[in-house]
Amino acid sequence: MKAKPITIYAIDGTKLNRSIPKSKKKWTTNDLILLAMAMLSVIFLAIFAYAPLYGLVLAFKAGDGYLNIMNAINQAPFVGLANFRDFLADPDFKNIMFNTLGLNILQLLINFPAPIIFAILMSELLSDRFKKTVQTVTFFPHFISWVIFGGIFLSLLDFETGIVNNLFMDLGLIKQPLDILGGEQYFFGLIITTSIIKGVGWGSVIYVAAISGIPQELYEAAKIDGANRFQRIMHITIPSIAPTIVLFFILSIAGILNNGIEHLWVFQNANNIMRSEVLDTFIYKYGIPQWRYSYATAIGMLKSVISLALLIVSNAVLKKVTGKGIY
Amino acid sequence: MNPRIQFQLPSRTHVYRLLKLITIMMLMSTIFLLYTSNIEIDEGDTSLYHTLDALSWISIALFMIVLIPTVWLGVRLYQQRKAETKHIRKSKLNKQITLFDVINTSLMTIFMVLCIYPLIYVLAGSFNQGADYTAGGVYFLPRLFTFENYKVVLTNQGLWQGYVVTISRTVIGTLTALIFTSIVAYAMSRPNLKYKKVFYWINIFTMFFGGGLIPYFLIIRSIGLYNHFLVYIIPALYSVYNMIIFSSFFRSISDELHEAALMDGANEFRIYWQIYLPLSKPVLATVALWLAIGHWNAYFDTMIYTHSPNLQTLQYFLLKAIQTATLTEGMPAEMMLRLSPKTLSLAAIIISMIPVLFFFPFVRKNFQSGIMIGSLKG
Repeated sequence: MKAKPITIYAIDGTKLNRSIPKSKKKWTTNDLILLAMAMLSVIFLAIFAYAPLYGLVLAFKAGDGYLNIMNAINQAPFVGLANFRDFLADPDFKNIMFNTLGLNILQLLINFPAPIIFAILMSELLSDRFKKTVQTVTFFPHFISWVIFGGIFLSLLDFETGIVNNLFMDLGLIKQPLDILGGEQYFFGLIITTSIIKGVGWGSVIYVAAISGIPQELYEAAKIDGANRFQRIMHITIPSIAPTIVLFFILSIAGILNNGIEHLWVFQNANNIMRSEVLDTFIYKYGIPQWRYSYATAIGMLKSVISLALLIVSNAVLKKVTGKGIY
Repeated sequence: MNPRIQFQLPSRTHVYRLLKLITIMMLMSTIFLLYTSNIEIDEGDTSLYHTLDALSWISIALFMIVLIPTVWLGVRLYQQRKAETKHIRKSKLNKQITLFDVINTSLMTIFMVLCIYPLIYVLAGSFNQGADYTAGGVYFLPRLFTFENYKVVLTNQGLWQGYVVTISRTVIGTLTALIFTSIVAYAMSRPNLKYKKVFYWINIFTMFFGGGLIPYFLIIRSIGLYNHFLVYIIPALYSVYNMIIFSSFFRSISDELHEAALMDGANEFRIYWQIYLPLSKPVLATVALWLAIGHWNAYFDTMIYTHSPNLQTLQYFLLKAIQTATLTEGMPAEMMLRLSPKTLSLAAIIISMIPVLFFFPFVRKNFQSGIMIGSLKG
């Protein structure tokens, strides 16, 4: 380690040795090693995150229908905003936007608070052993892929043989079996329910960790002061985990236009397409199997821009309201 | 306390735990054998029933033999523990059971049933004969028992191919991504990294703005990863999110260690490799788990970036089996009468879940011992 040069002061406080040049910093081997290590990320991101940004020019070209996507980007003529205009004029446009936003707002309203409520309820359980059992069992669905989980639900909800329809019929809740998988009116409910069952246990991990970090003395003091359970939750638990909640809320707003394509794809079929077609599935279907590269790029770009705007706005709002943001 | 007793106690509980596990497994197999010997079995002849009967009697006898020492040990241990904790008075303040507790506990139980029931359903369906299953009503136990679904699925070439691809991508992908991401994270966690701000913003920007699917596809095509095994590995090498998790953990490691190692002449890479990496096992385990789950469960990349059947992952194989009855393709007609694509895909689901079921207890144990708490605080 190099010692810093000692600054010498005159008796009136002015620096005497100002002449030592600041730019004489010497780069040690270790600096270079660190730089090389950090450069790995730059190389990776240059290829997989920044180079695709150049591909966005496809959105302004007539690159649909080229067999080779490389030719599409190099040879297709510029058409300006025509692809965006096409999408706005697409008969499915309204539907897709409705589904994308509708599903996401529902997820934000239901699936975002669900793990928080679950974690709080779990922390209120009396027996530690039961707590552990609950955690283990509810973790489990997260470890299964959407293909398997969806496949299981496809059998559970089957029109004729599924248990859900038969159970409801036996209970007298419904007269005729519901076509849950094929009916477009059930699609949103189906997606929300399945993602709660699969995700709540795992999603609550972070909040459980945050809750377990709250000092127990706070609860004891509140108990002695006569606060009941609900008051303790409202005034101790929730304020203590608020920073975590805010952070994850902003992150989930940024992803508002991402509808977990792996999830939707399993449940999407020709009968519920009116409600199950969202931006992600639309981009994939037009872009890759149908070779409409430019069109799909334009829609994807629209999506990215809207998400970025949502992120900035929500962060600004939350910063103003709670004093905390992510940057 | 006598040190000899202290040494003995844990070993005894270990024996007890092992015995308990064996007893439970014996009980389960006994129930299974008793059950199978008493129901209708597809293609079952008398000799099969006789073997099953004999097997179930043997397992009952074995179960009884294991049960006796287990109960004896359990009672002894319970008495011992009771004698030890007799003097500890439990606080009464926490032990008032209210209506809220009752509702809460039952809600949790219902949710647990919701999480676990689908598995039981699939298990029952996968052991049921296909034609019988399509009539409906197989919810908890198979009605017409058969192993045929498993026989058909296990002889399917695509399943094994998928297994190989999925396992290799999970193992290779997780290891390489862990190393790559932690190298960058180490550099980003050092205060003496030059141009740190620049690196930081280069990384952060990509979290919030991307080119989207088609430009990404374009890159995959143009660097030659399309339809290549490495398409599963290389694009997943690095993620900014995991890098942040790692570097916040590295930052929490005492700086004195770093200084001491520098004094001893180690360079930065060696410090990372020999000091920081071994110290960050909890966060390594956490991120490794995330990565492994991601790799194991992914299927969309197979769909988009590959077309060769040799690169099919297990999940993609299952997707095709569920959506388009590929499992019954090319089957003789008389077999088709008895089998249904539904029960076949249920059997395939169970087979593909076995590794997850196998690893789950380990994962659970690690996670409950507080790994998450340590690593996510940063």
